[in-house]
Amino acid sequence: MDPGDADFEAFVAARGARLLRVAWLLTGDAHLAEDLLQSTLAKVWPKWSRISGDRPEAYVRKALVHLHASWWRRRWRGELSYADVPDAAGAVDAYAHVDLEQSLAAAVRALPVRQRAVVVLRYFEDLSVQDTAAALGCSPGTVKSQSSRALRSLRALLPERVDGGDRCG
Amino acid sequence: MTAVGEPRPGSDRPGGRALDPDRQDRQDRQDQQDQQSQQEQQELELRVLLERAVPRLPDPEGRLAGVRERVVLARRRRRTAGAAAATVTALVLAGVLLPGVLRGGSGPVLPAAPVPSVSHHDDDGGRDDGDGRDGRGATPEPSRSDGQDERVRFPQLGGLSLRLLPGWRAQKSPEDAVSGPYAHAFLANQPLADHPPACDTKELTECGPIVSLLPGGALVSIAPASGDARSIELQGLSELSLAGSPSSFCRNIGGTKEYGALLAGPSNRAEFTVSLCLGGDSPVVVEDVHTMIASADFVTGPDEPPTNGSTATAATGSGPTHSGPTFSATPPRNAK
Repeated sequence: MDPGDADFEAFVAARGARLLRVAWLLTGDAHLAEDLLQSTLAKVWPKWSRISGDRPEAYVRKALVHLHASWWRRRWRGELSYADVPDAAGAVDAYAHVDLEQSLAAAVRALPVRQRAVVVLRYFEDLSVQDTAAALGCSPGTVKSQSSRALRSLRALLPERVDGGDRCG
Repeated sequence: MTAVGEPRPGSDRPGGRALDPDRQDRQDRQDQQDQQSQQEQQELELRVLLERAVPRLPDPEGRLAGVRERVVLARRRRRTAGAAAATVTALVLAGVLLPGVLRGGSGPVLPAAPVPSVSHHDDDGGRDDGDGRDGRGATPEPSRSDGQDERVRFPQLGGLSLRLLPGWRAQKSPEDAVSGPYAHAFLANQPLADHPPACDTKELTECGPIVSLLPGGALVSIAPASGDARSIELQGLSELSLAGSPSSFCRNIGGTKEYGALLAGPSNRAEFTVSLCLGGDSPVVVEDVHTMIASADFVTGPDEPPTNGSTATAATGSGPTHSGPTFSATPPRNAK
């Protein structure tokens, strides 16, 4: 086995779970998340020997976000609404009796693609403004403004109280 | 001059007493700090919320195998694309017309024609030069000028194979969208563009291969199902249900009615969503679409080159294994 393959496999074993959670937050669906992750890893693997020495996780995370944005831009999708099928990606209803996971996923999914990426990188991956900007290929100022807008949108979309009335934090 | 305690002229504070500049500065700085603290508090709450709410999904077995498979497929697609281009060139140089090879016989099983990587935006959504080409060097669909039905296959949708009625065209999504949930197939009874004609690439994008439906026109989109729909047990095709109102995607191309359905895969679960966008009321078109989608089968072999000659044997399954569900003539409403 190529030594690079072993290193790649070790990386996937160690960081795959976390990256999958990032992908879930981007896509809102477990199947889509795994698909996004595997597609990202497939793109990265052939270049692994070049990137493995220098913050590979940052590289893979960036690739994940960019691939998701690319899928989002290129998708040809029709909205489907038919009576007999559950609405798989319905609108966020802050007053519906949904659990935290679904409401959060829906709220983040309702954000524009760039704001969604900023939320994922800054507040889930806990990257700095500078690192987020580097991952997204934009300026720190843009990251800050997108962060503010995302926070405002999420406050409007998410239920005011969670966990039986206690505010988290 | 004002007395002590009396408001200064022009002051706007309650009670009319204006702060001295130093106090105002301190107040402003305090307000700013309070605002920043509030933002930081909100950010902290969001971090905690996200960490609690994002599920810890189990790592699937075979993730690395899946990754390896995608790498292999990507390399194979690059090689196939290069080989196909060389083959077409050789055939043209030899004086053999490719559409002529495809025409004739009964129901050859053909891969749906790929969308070329170079796009040409066309205001009329694609021209038909009469030989099945869209006038831009691409061959988005096989020729059906002899009135024969043919089957088209969409390898990126699990090998989905459909009967294509005369007058209908088929197209799959671009090469770089072949994987997973964003792979699509389209059927239409009018010419299809070879690239999304007008897409807003900044935010949400809902683009398709038709700019505008002609009167009586129809566009069928087939995509992998996601979310809760995938857990629905189903055999064959569910009934095409009329939506309360057409989606924005359908309305944007002039659709006035939209139907939706689910299509089962080999696992007898809903694996694909089907939407039919109509430019006008046409029960005949709805019936045609139902006929085509209900003919769905799944071919589990490698991509096949266009066949000639003994197409009947390919259509009846002497080639790759067919692993499709059984479809009844009148599909039951058995979606659970």
